[in-house]
Amino acid sequence: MPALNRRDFLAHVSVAVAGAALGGRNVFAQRTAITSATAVLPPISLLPEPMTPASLRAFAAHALNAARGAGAVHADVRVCEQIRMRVDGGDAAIIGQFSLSPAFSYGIRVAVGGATAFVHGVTPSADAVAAAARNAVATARGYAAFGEGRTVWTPGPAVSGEWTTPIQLDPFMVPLGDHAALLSSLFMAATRVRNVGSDLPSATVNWTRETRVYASTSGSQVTQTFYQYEPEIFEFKAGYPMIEGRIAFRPVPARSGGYECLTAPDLQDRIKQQADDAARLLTLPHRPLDVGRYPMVVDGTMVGSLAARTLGRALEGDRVLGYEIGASGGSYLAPPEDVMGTDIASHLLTMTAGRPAPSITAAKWDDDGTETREIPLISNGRLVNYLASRQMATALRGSTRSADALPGLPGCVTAPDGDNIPLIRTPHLAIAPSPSSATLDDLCRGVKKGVLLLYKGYVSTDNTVASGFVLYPGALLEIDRGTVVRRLRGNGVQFATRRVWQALGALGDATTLAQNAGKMDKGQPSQFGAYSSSAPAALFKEVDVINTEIQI
Amino acid sequence: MTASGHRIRSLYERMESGRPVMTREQLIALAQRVLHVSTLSGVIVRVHHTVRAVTRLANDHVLSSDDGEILYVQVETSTGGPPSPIFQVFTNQIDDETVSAALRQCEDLLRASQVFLADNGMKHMPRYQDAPAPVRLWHDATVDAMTSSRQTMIPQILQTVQAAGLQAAGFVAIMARAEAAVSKEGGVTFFHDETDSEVTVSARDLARKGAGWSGQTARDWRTIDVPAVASRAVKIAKDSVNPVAVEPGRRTAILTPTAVAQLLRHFAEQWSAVNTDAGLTALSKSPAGGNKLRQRIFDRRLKMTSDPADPDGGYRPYMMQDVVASPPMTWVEDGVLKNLAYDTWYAMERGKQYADLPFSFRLSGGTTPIDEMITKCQDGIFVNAFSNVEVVDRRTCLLTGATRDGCFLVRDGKISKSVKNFRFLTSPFFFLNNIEAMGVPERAAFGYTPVGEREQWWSMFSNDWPRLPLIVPPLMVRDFNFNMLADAV
Repeated sequence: MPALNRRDFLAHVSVAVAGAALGGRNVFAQRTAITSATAVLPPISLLPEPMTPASLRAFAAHALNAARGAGAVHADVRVCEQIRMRVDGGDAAIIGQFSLSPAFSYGIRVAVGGATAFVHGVTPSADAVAAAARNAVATARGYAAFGEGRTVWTPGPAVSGEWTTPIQLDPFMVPLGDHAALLSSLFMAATRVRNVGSDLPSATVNWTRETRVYASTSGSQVTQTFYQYEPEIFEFKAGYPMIEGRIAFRPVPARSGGYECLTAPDLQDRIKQQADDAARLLTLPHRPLDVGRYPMVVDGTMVGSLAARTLGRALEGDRVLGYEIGASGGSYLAPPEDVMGTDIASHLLTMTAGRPAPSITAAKWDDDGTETREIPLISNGRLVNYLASRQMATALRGSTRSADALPGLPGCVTAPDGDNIPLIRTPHLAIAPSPSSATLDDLCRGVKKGVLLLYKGYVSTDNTVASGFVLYPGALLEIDRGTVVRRLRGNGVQFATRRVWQALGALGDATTLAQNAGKMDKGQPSQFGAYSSSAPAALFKEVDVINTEIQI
Repeated sequence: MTASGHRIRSLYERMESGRPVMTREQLIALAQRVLHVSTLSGVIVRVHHTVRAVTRLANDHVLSSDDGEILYVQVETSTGGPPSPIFQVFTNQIDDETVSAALRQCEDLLRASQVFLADNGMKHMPRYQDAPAPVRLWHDATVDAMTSSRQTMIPQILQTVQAAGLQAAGFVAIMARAEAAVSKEGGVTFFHDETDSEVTVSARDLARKGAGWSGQTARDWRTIDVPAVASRAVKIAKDSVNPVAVEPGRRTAILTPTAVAQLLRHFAEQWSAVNTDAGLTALSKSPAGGNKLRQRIFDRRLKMTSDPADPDGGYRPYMMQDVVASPPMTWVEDGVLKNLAYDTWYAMERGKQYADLPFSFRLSGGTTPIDEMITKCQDGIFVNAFSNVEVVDRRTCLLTGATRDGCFLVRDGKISKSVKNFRFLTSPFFFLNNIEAMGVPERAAFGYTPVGEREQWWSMFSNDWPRLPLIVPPLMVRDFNFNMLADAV
């Protein structure tokens, strides 16, 4: 039997491995010789040839034809081929832990009789995709018997085109040894600073390249190729190897882009500067603060994290309208008829949502076929938009007082890959800095007694995002008469969300802007979606500082 | 029909056939195809195949299905001992070219690391042992329910909740999974298959801010009682209307099994022997190191065990990290710490029994029903469930989160009124030492339980839905720290 590469795969539809229920291929590829020259090879050479975008579009067309043929009123499909590369900075003798994980997935959504069904799979065969589409139609028909003819989803107007993340250098074309050497040098830029180390011997990053085709029965067909960089383990601790009192910082947030994400000429210097700044904080004594209400100054990375987890999440239209009840939860910014157009935060806060490059969320179209754009969410403290899909926008529009308050669509419906159902997700949030000069030091200077949070932390909220707790801040410090005087021990910060944003007292200027990125869970079974932010430093007039030190 | 005349069965055809996932023979054949071309020892190939049928309901109607399959092939190479890295490659494509490429990657790196380790005088340690006794976690009735249950359970949920004048939401998920691991060196083969299911129902009274939740999870669908789950959610929702604010503070708490399970889902990492001996967990003797083995750490009545063949839960009978049998373990008995979870290499070094972290366990020691706990309670809070439970401090297992979907004041032996939700701050190493009463353990439904920030590291084992069984009792504990009001419904 002639050898088939994956490009030829679709031409020889669904060659099945004997005895297996799934489609597959039964020809062994030629092995390459294993030599010490592996390090000079680009990662892409270690993989089978990827499927072409035309192949992925053919799969999509096959799925839609099958859905139509089975009686779907509407249908759309996402077909994804993804390569994820995980790289460690390693010793010169070994490459370190390195892996290339290729994956293929698709998800088909159909509407029949007012009901929706979603079926996903991983078998790259036209027959399997078509069967999945027919299965989805059968399920939707079954659901229609129980519904009231309501359809939550319909495809939007036809869109077509192609888009690729703007990159300068494809990370999958860079030799493995270069990847490892670069990460080593970035790692050492921090760890050469005295008292700075890491819990692991090297940094680990993930690069992802994904080609995703979206197509719908309304005539949409878009092909996007995403390049993303994500630091998996790229965190340093000033004070290492101590456990108590150390300062954690993560110098490089996740973003879209190519190898240039890590090759900026000043990146090593910036990492070293952060390490120096964090190490300097170690000279401060380490003590608890009395519990109470205090002002809180926060750097831009932490403001971004707060904004995403307490505002962005609460503004997701499906949460607001109750579609996530029993799953990730509801929203304190509901019901929309009572909240839209009201002041939900200090007049200082103006925030937009979008999906621009180079944020990790960058795309030209979302997974509903909506073109992405920047929309205002909060203007001078007033709520002007929710994060909506087309269907949610209709429901939100009907709920608002004003006919003019038409929710804008930022194109924020996404699925992490083809075999997850698309959901409304918080995209990139941008908070406008203060037009007046205000550095982080300036914000601290005005505080008689308070706390300072630096570097990225994580915010845990309740199921309607009405309250929150700051977890794992990089640094939690005490401000006394305008000066940072102590590292705090055994303290935590918690807050009521509405009150904390209304207590926003000041913002930093553009020099305090910081980029941040992370992931939030949603849906059931839960799935992760990436968010990002650009935010200035901020002063919040009061939060609750509590005691977290316990003896057991 | 394929070019060779072989028909590919659809997902639903496979569900209806009673075997939606690959058989033992198919999984092992696939793994052996990969191993056949490997020239190195120390190679393990694992294949995991999961099929699930999911229905989500919201706002009184079916939101969507989410049916499909998840497949991954994991190729792993290692010399088997520390500090050897384990090279792993995952893919969800089973064509020969892709899996061969995965194998080549691992082998290249293993060769490189063997040179490194030989140069540094590190020795190989064996990792493979005999196959474990199989455990029966597969139920044909659960597979049948993938296609047959929707026409009955959807109206059961919707009608029960709507008849009470409430708004319905729900989640029904049924899963079948098969996995195999084949090692080249030991010639050892592991195979395991299982089914699992979970039904959760939320009921809301929007006008009067009432919310109730109930759930049930079981490997055998025949034991799932959908009407009972829906009815319980309705009752809690109706009882929870018009909640009032009550002063936060330390109070007696009566916790359902779901609430207990949500608090204890972060327990597993506390049992890591490596971290404990390094002073990093609540089971460490001190921050400087050492452990609390043979010390009493909980209430004397408490026993904590893990058993792959547990009749109420069970789990795969081999360890995730190594291809060895996962033994039943007694972690705590009479409140005394009996064992920690040692990796295979650390166990060999220390002369201890190896064991996986207790992602699945049974907590037992009492028989008091919840109604009796309420009768005995003079002043306390009944908690139906928690949300977003996260670890604040790993060293003490200090947790934060909030109550949800049913929180009630208990006064003088009766449920007195519905109260607004609270945030809390506590540690299992507190409340498991403050037990007033303990009930009969049952497998708890988790409902929506997102992967926490810290859990992402363990997510392959702890968040893989459905969550591994936690068989826990209802508890009545004193001095539970409800430290802030959370105005969440």
